[in-house]
Amino acid sequence: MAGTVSEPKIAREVAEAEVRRWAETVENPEGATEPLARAVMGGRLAFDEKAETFTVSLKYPVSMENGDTLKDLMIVQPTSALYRDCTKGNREGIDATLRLISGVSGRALGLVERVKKADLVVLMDCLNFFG
Amino acid sequence: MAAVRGGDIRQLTIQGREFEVKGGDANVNVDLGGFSNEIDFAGNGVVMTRQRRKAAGFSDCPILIDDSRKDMEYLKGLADAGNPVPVNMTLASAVTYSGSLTIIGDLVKATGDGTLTLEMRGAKFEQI
Repeated sequence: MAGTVSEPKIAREVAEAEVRRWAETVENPEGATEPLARAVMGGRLAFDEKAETFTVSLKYPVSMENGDTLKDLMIVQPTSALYRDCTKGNREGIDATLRLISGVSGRALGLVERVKKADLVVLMDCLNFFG
Repeated sequence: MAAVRGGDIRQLTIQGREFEVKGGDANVNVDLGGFSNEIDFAGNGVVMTRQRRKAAGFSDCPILIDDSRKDMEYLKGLADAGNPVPVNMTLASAVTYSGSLTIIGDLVKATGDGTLTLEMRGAKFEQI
């Protein structure tokens, strides 16, 4: 399950309140979702309110061929142009989403495609957070 | 191992900006760098090998230029600066190469098919 927390680092009530507060800063109350709160509880999600960027620590880090490990992804708010580019050529569904995550994180598509589903759910919710 | 051995470039990003690479018959040459060997013969028949370092990167990459996005101007800015920039290239097999590369050669757009053939080189262009 996405953001499963066996030993919460942050209490549920505190995590939920934090995510609600973040959502209010971007004026999208519906952005305060359960997966985001669970990731906060697990200490895997941080939000920079000034820069409006998320840092997601991956539950399942991605091993790279060059020996490095992708441990976290920084997500910025996508621009309209990025949205347009990612849905060009009849791209839709998960293909467009992966391209969008690649665009907002600055990481290669081939790398984003190796992110596990549990982490992908949190990343997708980060995107939806902005409305 | 990836079953797909060839095909279109699925994604090319240069300093975080995605460029569209022409599909179909496009044949981008990826080079991992390392050394280039030449051999020569001494008069008595002994083989002499000369090994020289060579840059990594790619060449013959046909980029579809979007003038409304000022793609050419953006690339010209990078070329004029002359500094290496982060490049990621995801192939049809989903294998991704990454490196810090500099634009090499002239930036010329062919107006017929709207492409610009790009070459970039650097110290490393490796799988990630």
